Amino acid sequence: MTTNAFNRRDLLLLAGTTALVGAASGPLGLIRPAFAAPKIGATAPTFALPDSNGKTHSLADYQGKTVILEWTNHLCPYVAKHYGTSNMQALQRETTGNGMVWLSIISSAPDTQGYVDAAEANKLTKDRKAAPTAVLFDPNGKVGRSYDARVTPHMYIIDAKGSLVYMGGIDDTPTADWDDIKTAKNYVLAALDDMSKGRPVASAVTRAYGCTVKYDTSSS
Amino acid sequence: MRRAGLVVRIPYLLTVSLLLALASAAAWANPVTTDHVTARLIPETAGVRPGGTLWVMLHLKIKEGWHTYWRNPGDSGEPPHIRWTLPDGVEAGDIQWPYPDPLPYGPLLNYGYSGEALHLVPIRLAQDWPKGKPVPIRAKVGWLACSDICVPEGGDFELTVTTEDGGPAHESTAALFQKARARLPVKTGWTAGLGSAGEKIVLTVAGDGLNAGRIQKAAFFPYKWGVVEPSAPQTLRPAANGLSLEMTRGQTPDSQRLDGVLVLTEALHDGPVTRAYEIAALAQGEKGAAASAPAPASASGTGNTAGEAAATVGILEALLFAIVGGLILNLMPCVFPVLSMKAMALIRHAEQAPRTIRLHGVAYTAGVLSCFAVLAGLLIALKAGGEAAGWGFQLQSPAFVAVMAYLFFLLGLNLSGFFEIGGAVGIGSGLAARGGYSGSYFTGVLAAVVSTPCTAPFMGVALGFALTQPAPVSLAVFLALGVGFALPYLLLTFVPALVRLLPRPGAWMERTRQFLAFPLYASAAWLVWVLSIQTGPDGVLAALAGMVLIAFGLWLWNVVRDAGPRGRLLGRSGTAAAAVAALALVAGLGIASAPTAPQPASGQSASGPKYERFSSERLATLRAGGKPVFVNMTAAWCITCLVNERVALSSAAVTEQFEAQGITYLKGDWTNGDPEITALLESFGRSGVPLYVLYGPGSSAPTLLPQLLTETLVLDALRDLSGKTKLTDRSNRRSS
Repeated sequence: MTTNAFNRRDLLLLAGTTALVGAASGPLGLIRPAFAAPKIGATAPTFALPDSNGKTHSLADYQGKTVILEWTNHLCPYVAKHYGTSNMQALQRETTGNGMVWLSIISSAPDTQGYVDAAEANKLTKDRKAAPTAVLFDPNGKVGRSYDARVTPHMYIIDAKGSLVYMGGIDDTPTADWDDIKTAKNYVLAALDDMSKGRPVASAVTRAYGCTVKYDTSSS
Repeated sequence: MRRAGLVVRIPYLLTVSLLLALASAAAWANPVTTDHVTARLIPETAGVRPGGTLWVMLHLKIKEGWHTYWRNPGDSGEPPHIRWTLPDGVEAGDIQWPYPDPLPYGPLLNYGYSGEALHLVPIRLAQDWPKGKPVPIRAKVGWLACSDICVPEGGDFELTVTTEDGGPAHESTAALFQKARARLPVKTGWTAGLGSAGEKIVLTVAGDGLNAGRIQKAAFFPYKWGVVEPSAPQTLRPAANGLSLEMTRGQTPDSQRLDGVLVLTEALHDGPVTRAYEIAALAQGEKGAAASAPAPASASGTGNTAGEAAATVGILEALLFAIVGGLILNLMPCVFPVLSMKAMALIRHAEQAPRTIRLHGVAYTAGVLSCFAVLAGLLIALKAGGEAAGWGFQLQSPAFVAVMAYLFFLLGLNLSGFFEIGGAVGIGSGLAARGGYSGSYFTGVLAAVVSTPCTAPFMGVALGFALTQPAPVSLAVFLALGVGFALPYLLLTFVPALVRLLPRPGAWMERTRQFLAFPLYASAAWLVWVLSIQTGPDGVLAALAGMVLIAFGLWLWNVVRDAGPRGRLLGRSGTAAAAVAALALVAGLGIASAPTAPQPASGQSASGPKYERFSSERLATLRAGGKPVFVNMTAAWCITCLVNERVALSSAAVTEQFEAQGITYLKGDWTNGDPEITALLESFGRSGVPLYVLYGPGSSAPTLLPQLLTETLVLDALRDLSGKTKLTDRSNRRSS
């Protein structure tokens, strides 16, 4: 039938010229990744950010320690879910108590949801009985973008050698319903458990759920 | 229930709706109004019979600037969820999700809805449900509403329906359900395959009528989170019998399968039509997918963007691509020999005044541009006339392919030294030597003509894009292609230093010339192969016989060169006869197998009602007899038309209704244009297909169905018609 014939012809046309077109257009590749996504197993992106007490924290400072990064925005309902149920604070206590470093990072741009000054950040920590090692400010979003942090909460674990070993959600139940925490599987705990037993992290990349990080969109 | 405790307070208006729903006798769930959404749970009909299915809609009217989410919310967010409370014997199915819109936020992208969100859910009533016992339906619904910030909201709904077979619960309800169904992804008979190229994954979709050149916009939404990077651009390309879409792998890729919704916007004469298609693609190499879903053009790996337009290519980009594409064309086996000969002529005549040489360059460029302009004009005119013309349309005519094969054969023989063209318009040294600028002009025309077979495959999309644009833009893209095409030669004539860089004239030129015949022979051989597919062995025989005749004619021409006047006349007549015979051989091909095969007078699709071929005479006769008629105007290249037939017109229920109501189904095929069909289209204010018209019995006014059909919509229209039938019957009875 004619239609079929045309189809096969098209195929030949494509096959016959693909090589030439490919060769000729290679240098013209205009595709750029939307995000410079960090890779599991690779060295985690470096950073140096000020905390709520004016001290600068650099990732290099914590070489030899497990570092947990938590992207946060206290007004996001998904963050509220984990602080309102004390789930996040419990995790912070457990990890820092075991010699790990917990850095809460705020990448909200000024005048966007979740942006706070140092005093407010400290008050939040106090009121919520939170226990991070430090709360860091990233108002221009540079560090957030380098980690491809997309939502709050978005969680990252960096091992003692400085390699990224986990990135993704805090647990496997992507809802804002507080009751779901009881039945959810906590990915961060699972990853830390794998690490403590010397196993590779089973779920190294998971779905991070929550509100978008309120980046400064004018610079994007 | 504790929700979003710290700062975002959720209004506790939720249970109010319950009381209101109970109070209302109609089956409307009263709206639940939150800060950002007005939500309703709406039954499609006021009742459902035991054993039947009731469709219920969760309708969210969303405040401006806010949105809710699709089943896969993309980078962030959460889809609405419904927790049903139903008595035994009542069962709710999954939410049917209309296709989403991409919702960008900064560097991120979500999938969701703004304005309103329409979620359909089927609710089945058991066969043994006692007749007359009301059916209570309760649901706890939660949704996340976001703008810059997100707020989880929700409500409790209750509604009750009867066990009577009620009509639509409400007039406006019917419209809402229609709207929702038009946005549901439809199942197609298309074949989908999943391939990979580096960091990219490539979805290939092949199916009848799936013509990438007609698609203005394509977007794929995966069901699963993490398999496709939401914010990365998706690149549409033509593939054999369909299209391919290149996407970026997500954070949790799956190389084995890809499920989701492909949303295509097809350029039709009456404006773009958007429809969503359900896709289940298996990795290529897996059974099923590989067999009929050929490797996409991009399988070769390198980022081959040039000459192929991205789905969202802008005008400037298109122009740039066209110029680059034109440049590349010079390297094609069909063109390179011609251009080389032209360059050699330059070398040979380097002593000419620079001005003369420059004018030759300009004349050549003018020749190229006029040829491209004519082709573009032709295409635009065809397109306006309703043809499914895309670039490469010429190659759809076997006669054209055969003539091109002759042309390449002839040019090859010329380069081989088999004959010389003295004075006639041809290629190579002769022309430049003549010093006639017309010679250069026609060389440009010729170069552009011989380039067309090579252009089609990889310029298809760029030019397809061009053709969806207004005529001036289309023309600009084609001319840009011509400029790129003419640029190398033009440069040579304007920068004498470049000519000096080329080797000196010498014996090598003759050998190169002879060598360059072979790409031309190869092009001819390829075109014969194309012909073999279009026409089968007969066409190949005709074309090859024609080539023998051409060679013979040329030989004859040479033989009689030194003969007397009579011998020369005889010989030249013989040559002419051979040429005419060669053309006659392939002229028949156009008629024999052009894609204008007449449509059968009547027929039946694999499933679906029987139809007759449309003619305005038949329609007039049927209407004069007061017979109900359904008219379907379609075309083989119209994706929307073919899908409508498949999803809405082929079902057993529709066939049954057609038969029960004695409706005559007339189908008009506008694939190659048809003045009678065009006239009918125009009488309904349409300039193109699809067109669906339902004429009721008697002389009632025809009903125009929308361009996007669903089975329910067609059945509803048929039911309305039967309602009118009863009405007519009644009035008849009364009057008699």
